[in-house]
Amino acid sequence: MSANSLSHHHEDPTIRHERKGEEGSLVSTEDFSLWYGDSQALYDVEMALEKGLVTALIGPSGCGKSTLLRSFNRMNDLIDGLRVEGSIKFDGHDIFAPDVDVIGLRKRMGMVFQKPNPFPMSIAENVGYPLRVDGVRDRKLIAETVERALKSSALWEEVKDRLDQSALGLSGGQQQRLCIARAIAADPDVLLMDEPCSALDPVATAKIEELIDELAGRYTIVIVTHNMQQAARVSHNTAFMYLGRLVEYGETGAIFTVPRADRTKEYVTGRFG
Amino acid sequence: MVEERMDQADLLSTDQGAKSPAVYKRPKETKRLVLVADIIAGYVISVGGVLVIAAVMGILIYLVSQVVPLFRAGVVTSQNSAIRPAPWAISSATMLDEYHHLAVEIGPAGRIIAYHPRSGEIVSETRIDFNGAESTTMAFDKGADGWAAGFADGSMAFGSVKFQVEVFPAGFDLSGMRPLGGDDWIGDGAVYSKVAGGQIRVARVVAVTEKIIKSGGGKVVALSMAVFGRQRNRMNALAALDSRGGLSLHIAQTRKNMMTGKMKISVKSYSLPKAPKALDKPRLFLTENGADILLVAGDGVLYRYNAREPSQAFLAETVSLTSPGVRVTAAALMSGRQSLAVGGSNGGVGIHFILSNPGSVTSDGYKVVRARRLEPHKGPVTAIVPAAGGKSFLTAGPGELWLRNGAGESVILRLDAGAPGDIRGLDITSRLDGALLSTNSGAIRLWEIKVPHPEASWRAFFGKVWYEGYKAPSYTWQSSAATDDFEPKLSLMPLIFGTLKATFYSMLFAVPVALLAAVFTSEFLEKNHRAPLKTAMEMMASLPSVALGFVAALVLAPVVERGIGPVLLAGLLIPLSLVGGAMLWQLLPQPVSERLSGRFKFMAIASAMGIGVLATLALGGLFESAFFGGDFKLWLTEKDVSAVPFLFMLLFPMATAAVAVAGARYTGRGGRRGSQAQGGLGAGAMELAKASMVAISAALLAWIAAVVAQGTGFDPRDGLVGPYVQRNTLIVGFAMGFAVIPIIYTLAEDALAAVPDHLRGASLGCGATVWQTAIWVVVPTAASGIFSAVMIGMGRAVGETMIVVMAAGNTPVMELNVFGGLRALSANIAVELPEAVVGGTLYRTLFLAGLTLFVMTFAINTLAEVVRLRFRKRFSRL
Repeated sequence: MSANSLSHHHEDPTIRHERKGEEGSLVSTEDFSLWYGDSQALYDVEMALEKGLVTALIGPSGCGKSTLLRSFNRMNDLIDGLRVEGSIKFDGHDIFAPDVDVIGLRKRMGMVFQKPNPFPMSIAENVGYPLRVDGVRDRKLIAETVERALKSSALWEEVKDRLDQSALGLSGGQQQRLCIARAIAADPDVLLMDEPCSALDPVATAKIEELIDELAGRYTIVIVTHNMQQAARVSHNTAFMYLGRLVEYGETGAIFTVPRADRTKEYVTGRFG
Repeated sequence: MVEERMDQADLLSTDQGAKSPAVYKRPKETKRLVLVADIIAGYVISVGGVLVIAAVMGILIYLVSQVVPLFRAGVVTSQNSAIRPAPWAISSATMLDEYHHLAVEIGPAGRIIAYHPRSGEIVSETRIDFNGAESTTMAFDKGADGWAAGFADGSMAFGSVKFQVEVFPAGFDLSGMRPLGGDDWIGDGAVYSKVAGGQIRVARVVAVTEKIIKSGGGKVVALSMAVFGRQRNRMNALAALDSRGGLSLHIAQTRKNMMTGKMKISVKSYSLPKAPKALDKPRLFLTENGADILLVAGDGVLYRYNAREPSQAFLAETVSLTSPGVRVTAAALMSGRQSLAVGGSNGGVGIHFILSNPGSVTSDGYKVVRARRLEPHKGPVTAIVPAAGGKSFLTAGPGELWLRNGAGESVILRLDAGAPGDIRGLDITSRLDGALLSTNSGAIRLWEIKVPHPEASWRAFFGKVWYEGYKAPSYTWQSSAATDDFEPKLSLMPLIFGTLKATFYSMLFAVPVALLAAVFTSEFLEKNHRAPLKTAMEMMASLPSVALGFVAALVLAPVVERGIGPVLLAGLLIPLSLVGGAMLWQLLPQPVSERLSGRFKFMAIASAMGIGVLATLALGGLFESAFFGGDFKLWLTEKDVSAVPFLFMLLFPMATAAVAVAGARYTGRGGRRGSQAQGGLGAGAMELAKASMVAISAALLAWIAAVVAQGTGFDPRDGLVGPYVQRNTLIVGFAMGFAVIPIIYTLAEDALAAVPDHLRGASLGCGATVWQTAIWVVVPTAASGIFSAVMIGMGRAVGETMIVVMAAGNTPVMELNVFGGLRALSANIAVELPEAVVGGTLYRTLFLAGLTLFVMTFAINTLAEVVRLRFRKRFSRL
């Protein structure tokens, strides 16, 4: 396996293409490895997420893409026996440094999960939850933030008349857009999306993809997906992972049309995965 | 990569490597046996299920079937009419023996006719020996078989008249006796009856004259007699009114000489202040122990003479018993001689008590009070006859004969007294199973009746009843006492109150502890530590409650009693030292605190608690002397010591909450940001300073509120707290809290753990802390489960028996006092069941208590289930 050594790291096995992005990277991992107890889940991952662009993480099940995504906002901390090596830098600071404010980190990295997970509260309360967490009591500010977030997530027109009804009454697609609105309301820098459409029907999926398109530019977005077409449609850069390693990383078009690694080729053409 | 390829190659080779695979061919038909087993299992399981339901329903039905007879009205089982004229119009006394074989009527001049009440046949005709004199009036104490007679020359006599009963074995020779039909015969002045087992029961009436008291007064016109004491040392008290208005009290002491066996009677006579002259139809009554002599005139005026000191008796009170214009047509003392039933010409029946000091408007501090007003007859009340023992009595109105019970204030049984003529004699047996009526036209009526539970009524169980000797209507439970004349007080309200009180205080202790522990386990504890902790907590549930009660009653109660001051102080100091410890912990730089978390942190928490305990022990005495005049228990009863410190302790937590909320509102987000920016030591110091500010201002606020509260006259000693008893509600709350904590904890923890992790993820992903996630997302989502956990814990507390039996003191009082005892429904059943006669009123009342308990726990559990099901819908969509 020939190493196209763009990095300073001499053992880097990752094949790297040109990437889109002019503003530089916001988040970058350096030689990042992760263990759950005794089993290693990530091996020396080295990647930089470009500011304001959509980066897709693809790969077969168990390849570590979700693990990597959850490492960005340290959601993995909740798991017992977690151990990391190397570092992840966000805005130049190591997020695993002992004095880092994890809560603050999560406030800057909104997260959307695989399964829509609205709270059993009203729609408005769901979207306003991050403000409640921050102790905001100004009702006007909350109402305006909720409205803006719902408009950003293209849900406003559908729910504006029933903001005080339970969010659990929404359809799956609406719930997921609500979760995106909740993430947006928190005013994050990065949006982490963990297979946001895997539980949705094609129509809802299309709406979410449209939404991601609109949000790109405003936020740095990382999306984990199993759906090749989706990755191809919504992302600027794509990273292919396999068995805990970052195999190939570069502009989406390059990854899908001229993959260099056999694994990547097989995966993007649907021969395995 | 090379390795991986090899792995795959291995996989492929195993797939194809097997040479002759054993192929399983599935039969396409189900075996008969399997089908039969399926059917049998189906039947067995449904039968089992149905049996369980049937068993539960069966218990419920049995409970109800035991309770229902309490509320049944009395019934007449048979009615018999006969004729037996008597040579007088009104009998001085009428007596029916307890087997209804013999009836006795005593005429005014001491003549006695004994007859068979079913047939009216004469059994004997005698007379009481008055030394040849004719009595002018007679009085009886039926419960003690006593009679008294007064004569025209002012002298009096007393003695006894009673049924003498013998039982002969089967085969007794009845030849020569006159058969009366049925199983009764008459012979030599007695009734012979065949009773169970072929035995012969012989009943006759025996009258004895014990003493004649000479007195120089005028003709005796009214008399009352009472027998106090027992055989060896008997006292016959006679109160007499003569035609000149002279009132006298005679106390005859009967002593048995141990050597000769002879009875010696010594009489002391006392002259009372003269009664008003020209009283129309006076009636005289001697109350319990001769304390008062009541003179009731026909116009309804009662003159009460206080005779507690017979030589200095005086007229203490004059009061009208009836409305103006209403005459007293009948009056009688209830058994026990503590209350007077009065019937009027308007049909009204009232019961009057002599109460001590209800406003002290009288010269001796007692007062006659009409305590009960009973359902009136439609015409004048012609007779009132109390049953011996118990508080039931017969009242006669025009054509009606009602059996009533004072406590229930209701008519238990209505008899149709449609016999020709006016009432000559009337009696009811003490067991309330027979009533006899005779009229001046010679008609005799005998009713066989059944009134098993005269004291039972909704009002007696759940309403306020004004009992004899009580100053006002009250909820009282007192099922038995030393005397037969006792009125059972069967209100379940103090017991229900006791149950709720014990439940309230135990929940007050258990709910916060159990819920915080559950939140801690499910949200803060690492997963691999959860199982051992949960198991340990669940082991607490298997502690036998009798052991808990034992420890609470014999170890905890004395310790707390000795050190109630330090215990109260601990409630204040230990939380404070914990919060203080947490604040100091924040002062540690983050790297240090992170390294020290784990075991060291637990040790720090433990030592903070230890410091709290030590401070409590050291300051306990000082605390009591500074705030409670040296002794907290004394302070509870002596109201001249200020209540401000105690109020302060009560108000401090509320004041802290108020100050904290107000502080958060005013400083708002800005303050928090400021502290965040400083970070580390600075933030910790800020927090500490802020917390001290809150504590100090809360203390100030609480103290001011306490002073104001005392200024407005509020004193916690009026209700909230009161005299200290060793086994009190505090102890019960603590012990029973221990019993319910594991249940609430386990169920609440299950509910919290059932909250899907993706909700926690969502909240944490929004930048919420674990605590914020717990209280804003996890707890509200699990609210229904937590609610039902609390409710089920409450159900357990309501039904819990052993702890309340052992640690609650079992005093059925209704007071809020935390330091007072209580008696719970369950404990009451356990304590009183050994004394209850099977099928008796108390027995059935205890079943009613059990049913009430069942209804309470059923209601609580149903509420829990309804809430749980309601919220389950919400859960199902998550």
